[in-house]
Amino acid sequence: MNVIGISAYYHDSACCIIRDGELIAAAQEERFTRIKHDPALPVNAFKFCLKQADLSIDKIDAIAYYEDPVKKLSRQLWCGADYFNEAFTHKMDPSKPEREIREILGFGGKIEFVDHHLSHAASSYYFSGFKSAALLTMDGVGEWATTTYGIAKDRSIDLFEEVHFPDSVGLLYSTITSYLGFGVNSGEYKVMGLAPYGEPLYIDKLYELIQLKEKGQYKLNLEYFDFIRGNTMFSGKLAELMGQPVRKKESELLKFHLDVAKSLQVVLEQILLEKAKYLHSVTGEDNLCMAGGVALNCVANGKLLREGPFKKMFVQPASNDAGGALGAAAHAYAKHSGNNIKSAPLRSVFLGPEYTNADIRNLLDATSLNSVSYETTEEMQKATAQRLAKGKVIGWFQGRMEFGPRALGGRSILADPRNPEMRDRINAMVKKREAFRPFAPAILEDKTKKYFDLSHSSPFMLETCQVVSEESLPAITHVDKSARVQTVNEKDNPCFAGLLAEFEKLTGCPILLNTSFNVRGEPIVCTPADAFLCFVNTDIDCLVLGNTIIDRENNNMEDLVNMVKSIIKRKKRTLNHDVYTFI
Amino acid sequence: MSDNLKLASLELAGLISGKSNNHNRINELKSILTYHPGQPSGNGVKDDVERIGIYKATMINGEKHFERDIEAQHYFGIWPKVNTIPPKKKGKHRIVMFGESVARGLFYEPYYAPPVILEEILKKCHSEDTEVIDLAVSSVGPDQILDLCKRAFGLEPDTYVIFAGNNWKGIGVTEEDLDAIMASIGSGKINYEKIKQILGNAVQHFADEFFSKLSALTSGKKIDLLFIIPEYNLMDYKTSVVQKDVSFVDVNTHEWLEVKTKTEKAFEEGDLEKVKMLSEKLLSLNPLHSLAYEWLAYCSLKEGKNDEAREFLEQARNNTMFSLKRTTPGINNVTRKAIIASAAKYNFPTLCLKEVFSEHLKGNLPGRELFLDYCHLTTEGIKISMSKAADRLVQIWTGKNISPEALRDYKISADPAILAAAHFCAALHNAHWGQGHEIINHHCRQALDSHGETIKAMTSYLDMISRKAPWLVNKETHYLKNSNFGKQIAGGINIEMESFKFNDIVFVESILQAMKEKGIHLSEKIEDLRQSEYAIGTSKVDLLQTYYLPSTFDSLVSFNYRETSFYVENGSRSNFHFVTSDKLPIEIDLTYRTPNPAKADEKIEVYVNDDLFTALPQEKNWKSISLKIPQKYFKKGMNNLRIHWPVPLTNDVVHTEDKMKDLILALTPSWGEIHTFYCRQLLN
Repeated sequence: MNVIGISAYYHDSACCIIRDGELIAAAQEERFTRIKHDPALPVNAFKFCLKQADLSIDKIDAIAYYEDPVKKLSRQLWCGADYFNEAFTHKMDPSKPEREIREILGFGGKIEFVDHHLSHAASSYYFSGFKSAALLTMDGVGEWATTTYGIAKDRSIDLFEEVHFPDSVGLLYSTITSYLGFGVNSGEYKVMGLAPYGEPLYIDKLYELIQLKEKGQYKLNLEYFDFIRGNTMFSGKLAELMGQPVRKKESELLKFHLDVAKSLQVVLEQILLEKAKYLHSVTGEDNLCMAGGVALNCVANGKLLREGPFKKMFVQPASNDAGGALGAAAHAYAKHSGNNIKSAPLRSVFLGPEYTNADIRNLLDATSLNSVSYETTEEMQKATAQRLAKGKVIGWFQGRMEFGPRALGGRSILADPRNPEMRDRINAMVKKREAFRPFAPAILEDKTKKYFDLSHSSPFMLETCQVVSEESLPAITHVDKSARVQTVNEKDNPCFAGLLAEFEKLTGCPILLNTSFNVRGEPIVCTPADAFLCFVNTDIDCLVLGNTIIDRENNNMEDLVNMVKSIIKRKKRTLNHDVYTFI
Repeated sequence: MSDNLKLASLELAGLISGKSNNHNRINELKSILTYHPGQPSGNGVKDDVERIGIYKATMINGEKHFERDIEAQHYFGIWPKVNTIPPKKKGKHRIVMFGESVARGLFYEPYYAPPVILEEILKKCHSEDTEVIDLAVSSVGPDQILDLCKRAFGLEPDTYVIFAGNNWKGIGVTEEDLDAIMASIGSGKINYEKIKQILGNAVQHFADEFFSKLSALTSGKKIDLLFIIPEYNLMDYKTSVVQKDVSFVDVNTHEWLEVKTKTEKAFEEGDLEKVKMLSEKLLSLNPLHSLAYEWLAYCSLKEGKNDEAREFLEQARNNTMFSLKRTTPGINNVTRKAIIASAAKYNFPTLCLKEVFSEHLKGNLPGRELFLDYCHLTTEGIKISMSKAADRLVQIWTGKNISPEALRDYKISADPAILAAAHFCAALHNAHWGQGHEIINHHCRQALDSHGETIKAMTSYLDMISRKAPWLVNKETHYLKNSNFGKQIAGGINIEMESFKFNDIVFVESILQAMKEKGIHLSEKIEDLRQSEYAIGTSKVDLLQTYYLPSTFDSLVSFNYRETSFYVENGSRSNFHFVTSDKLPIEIDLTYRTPNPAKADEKIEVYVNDDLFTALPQEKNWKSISLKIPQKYFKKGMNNLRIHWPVPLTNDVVHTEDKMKDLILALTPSWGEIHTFYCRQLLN
């Protein structure tokens, strides 16, 4: 049985394909269209998935869509959207997903609509490898649900309790994100990264915004919010409560902002811990599966696992809406075939497109740049490790692209974590982002304990832990001595593991700074050409495309840089990050 | 949250999604749900800056200038390359010129744009105190021109010159018109006369409205106005590749295709009498198609009947207004007459270039001496039109004419490098709009003859177009962008279209031919490059990628019209091109369907390089098949795979909220669709 999963029309649209129980491919549409968080029907990702699975449209048994459009419309109507106003009709049309799947994708078979949070829950459970587990999903909002509690056993999922919109932990987090001057649906990571710089001085005030109720419930105090129908997340009362005006985007970050970020992180962790305890008490399960945008808060995840009641935890690596495609497909597959997903437990998210060395050679032949091509991967790894050891920042493009928001060694920017200037340099000159933002380490899995307080593998960079290394690792150690670790092994991620091993041979350090290969406001690179343009447009020292290396210092790139910069600037397209678009 | 409200919203969502007619209940639920105070305030930010298109008002030393707004830089390419419009100086007579790409002097701009030339002529022949502000914009429509006219009051104009009419296709068509057209295509037989009448009326009505608004706008402003109506290149008129195919599908389509094939054969054999007879037959089957008129015009020209040829060619041009596929922009007689009549009604003076050129050519038809392509003018065309415009303006201002001698003496001393680049751009533009080899070759040769730098530009273009790499990263792009070609091309190609790759076969072959005539042999190099970049190997290649699709820009744009993830053919033929060696057989994986059935016994024919390879059955639903094609069908280099689809019997008449889409689907239904089209070499 072959099933395609689709998430679309909100943000981070994506497509995946399950062929006879095996997850063959998954990709976000933004990577192809180069529009960050692209919400459009994922036409390009769909075509890629079919090609990768070597299947034609007539061999697809079902398309699973990640939410119920009618339920979603009811919530939009409740929000006050005037469906009968022509301007809204097209946007909210509940028949749009089915119509466009038929007309644009050309699919004539069965379309299965899977509730938004069921898609999230399924995306975690079916790929966890757990026979049974408790389920916790949390995000801004799906149809009505914003949080769900459930239990899964033998391919069956029961979401037994929901918290409904407008009460939402995700929206609380996004509201404060917006209050702190960062974009909704994009700045939440920044707030999480900012938190360790602050003190939790505003916890009481934040608990004015949310009241915990019995069982899994909680309630937002809507006096402080305006996201239901307004153009901002918060009402004027929020600034009054906090005693400070809303921070203007890109303005100076004051201690107050850092303290609010810290307070928010603490509140989130407290809520998660309390609700996890409730979930554990009801289900009696030792395993926890999490998904939804809130599950991307790796700091809270780490705390939950360390201090919470569950022994094991699985967080779906693409926990945001993109991952909904995975869950919808897995749910439809399990339901109709009666079989398990073969790709569980999920060991790798290298599910995107890949390119050959010949593709790369052809690209570089068209350019004016000098490059060095190596016969073998080992030679390339050695040469790359040497450059890293010399303090170079590397754009690393290998194999298939990752699915989800994390770069895990397929489309990464890499650097020496021991270099004290590296974090500031990459933030400023390479990623072009805020100076406070931390970077994550990637480490050879069998060396983890020596450097980090982490007892298990963490291949998807989804939890933080303390740095216990004797050696100083300033570029990847956050201000609170934490780090968001990616463990890498030879079996699941051989090329990246090989590079780490070569770097260790040269330096004695089996760790590299690993961040996504993109600049602020742009999706992670997908093709060699995307990588090339990102390299040109930043201060990356060397670009490693497959077995070929381009060194900036060996090339005069001035003309190229000027042309690319001027054109990229003109092309920049973005979505609205001031408010969730509920309507 | 109130449970009642949630229940109400759930019920309402259910009624809406089920397309319920229970309006009472819907209204009741709507009233329950309107408990929220106020409506969303919207994200619109009030823009209180005075703007004229890409320009915004800026105070410099207490004076108002209009400067290009960096925020609008994405649009700079279609506007004049002028950074600042200064305030009007005392004593100056300021003309503001609005218009489309012809008014921009496409392919010569910024050097010899009509506004520049008009100013030069007026300064020389009338007064040094005359200035012309250029506000011509490529692809601008009539409503945008009206908006610019309103905004340009901030420039303190004395005279407006509007040079427009080429972009007026499809204007003024109302929802009621679309309903009436839809009604006229019922029962499988299209009422062509009715369509003609509806669209003709729409153009006239729109022209009336345009001049009425213009009159209201300029009333009491003491601004003189001249409307220049463009002309079309009749001698080089060619129905484009896309337009040559079936335009609308009805009961006559089958026969129309058969007669068309016979006419093409007669044309090739030079049997003009037969061509005429068959062309008349084609017109009786579909009077709104251009091709038959083009053939009739050819026959008339051969017989020396210029006036008759003009009539046929103008009919051919008129018929492009009925096409739902992409056509070359340009004026037609229906629009021209509508503009003249409406302008007269509101007492606006006009200058009709048809008359100006006819007088200049002593009754001969306008051709490439005045035009670079279908509508953009040569330096000669610009000089003649702007001389006449200057004369009319002086007449409007003073009641007198400029002396003919002074106008005759005026010359554009053209730089050969600029001329060369313009010819090269024109060759490219003609190629991308599906025009014939002959005109493309002509401009390639002219470009090479005009200036030696053309060789480098052509070589760079060949490299850029033959590689998969996005143009933006190609080293040759840097040269082209900074050359005259890059500066003058505006609107012709867009190097920012990173992922949009196409084979450009017609243009590439024309360049190679023209270079060869100059003793420069690049065919082998380009062949090697194509083999290295695009050759079908043992890995699957997706023939639905734009590179393998038809070689003209308009074909590609037509392909994208329906925005499906799969290929939809709304004509009788689908063409694919691919590069291979002739050494190995090829396997093709094809998933196709024919959603609109044809006659039961008709098959889908697959040709490889004009040889029929196989015939496939019609399939209502997607069907996947694998075809193994022996190497004898292939040649080394570029190959063609063509699919002939059977004529759909029915018009797919649906009624949705999008009436234009309904009409397009009804008149140009899908003939065949392809979801998967992979190709790879077989290792025997």
